[in-house]
Amino acid sequence: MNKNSLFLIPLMLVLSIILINTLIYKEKTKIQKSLNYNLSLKEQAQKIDHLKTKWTKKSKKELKKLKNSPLIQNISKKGKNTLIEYKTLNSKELDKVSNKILNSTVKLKHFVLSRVDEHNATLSVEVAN
Amino acid sequence: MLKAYKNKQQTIFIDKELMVGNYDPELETNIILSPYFYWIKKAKLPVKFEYQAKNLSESVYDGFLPEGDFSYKAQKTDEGEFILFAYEPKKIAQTLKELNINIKKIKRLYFAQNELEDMECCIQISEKKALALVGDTVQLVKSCNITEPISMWHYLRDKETFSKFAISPNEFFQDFIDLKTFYIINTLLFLMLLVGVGEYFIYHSSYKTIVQEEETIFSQYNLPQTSFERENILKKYTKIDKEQINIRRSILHMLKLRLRNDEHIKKIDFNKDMFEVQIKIKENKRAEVLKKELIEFFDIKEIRVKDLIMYARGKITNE
Repeated sequence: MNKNSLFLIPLMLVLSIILINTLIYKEKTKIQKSLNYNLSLKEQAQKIDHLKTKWTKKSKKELKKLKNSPLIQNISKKGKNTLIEYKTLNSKELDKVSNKILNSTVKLKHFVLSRVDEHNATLSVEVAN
Repeated sequence: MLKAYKNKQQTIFIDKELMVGNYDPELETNIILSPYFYWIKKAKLPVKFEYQAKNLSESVYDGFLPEGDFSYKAQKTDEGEFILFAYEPKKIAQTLKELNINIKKIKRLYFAQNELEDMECCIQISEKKALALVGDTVQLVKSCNITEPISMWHYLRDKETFSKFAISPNEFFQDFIDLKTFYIINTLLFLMLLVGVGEYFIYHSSYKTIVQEEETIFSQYNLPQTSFERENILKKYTKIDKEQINIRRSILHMLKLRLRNDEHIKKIDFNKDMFEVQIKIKENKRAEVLKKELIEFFDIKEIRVKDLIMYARGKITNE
């Protein structure tokens, strides 16, 4: 091999090293971008999943539980929603029922509380299915 | 100016283990090489240019040279006629090193053949060595057989011009660079390249893993592909969440209104973001107090009092 052409070898090697380092830099940048994207995607997905579960699956389960209460007088359909009418409730029962409703994740559409007398009241709630 | 420039240069002659001339390592140096360092051959070659002749030199010298790593140079003398020089850069470099010559300051290396071909007589270079023209070739001889030979020292002192045919330091150092060093450098560069390639593949596979992870997130959470759709879903559920939290908080505020013992809520009606409330009060003044309390949490649209029953209607506010 010509001696001059021998010097092409280190030159080619140096150029290859520069090339490979450029490729490494590009891969690193791609990784960084993908990691950031994945992180924000996961965050978004978890938020959606949490809210979706809360206001769909969990909401349905809790509606079922509410419907099982012995204090209910009538359950009927109102459009796409369910209307739950409670019997006349004393103060203690009213507190218990309203706490249960307000602490649940049923989708409240309409909430009506009417006092019958000083100690008793009626309650009707419309919840989304 | 030219003289001043020339004064900063020096010329020395080197032979095996011998240097002739006043040498200052700080000055630029022209070196005349003794025939000890090169071989010459005149040849007629079917080529036009020196570089073509140079390429043929190795085959012209085939079998004539001792073992060694030779470089070649060709000098055109006539059409198709060339003088071919063969020299060993390693051998020259070794001598330069032994004679403590500053390689960085070397300007040109000349062949004695070109620089001394017009000498009129013999030139004495040491007690036991001299240079003489044998035919038209400058050769080393044991001594000059004349009474007052010129010494090389005097010759160099008076020498002002050089032939154009020389080895440039770049060309020379390219030739005599130690092949061992060359291989070490190449091996190191190759190793660096290998490490780089390895690193690249590691990053590349990491990237693939990350992309797969992204696909897993999509399938695991059953997400739509476009960010627009995802944002809409998130907006929808965030709105539901906010509305439901608001309605609950508003009902609680209403149930916890600070009423007197002789006052009570007759009716509360929350429908989506609107509400109506009827409160039995004891005196009309109380309506103002309760109104202030309601305004803290609700956007009141209407308030009136009839027969000590306060009617209020308004909108649930977002906190």
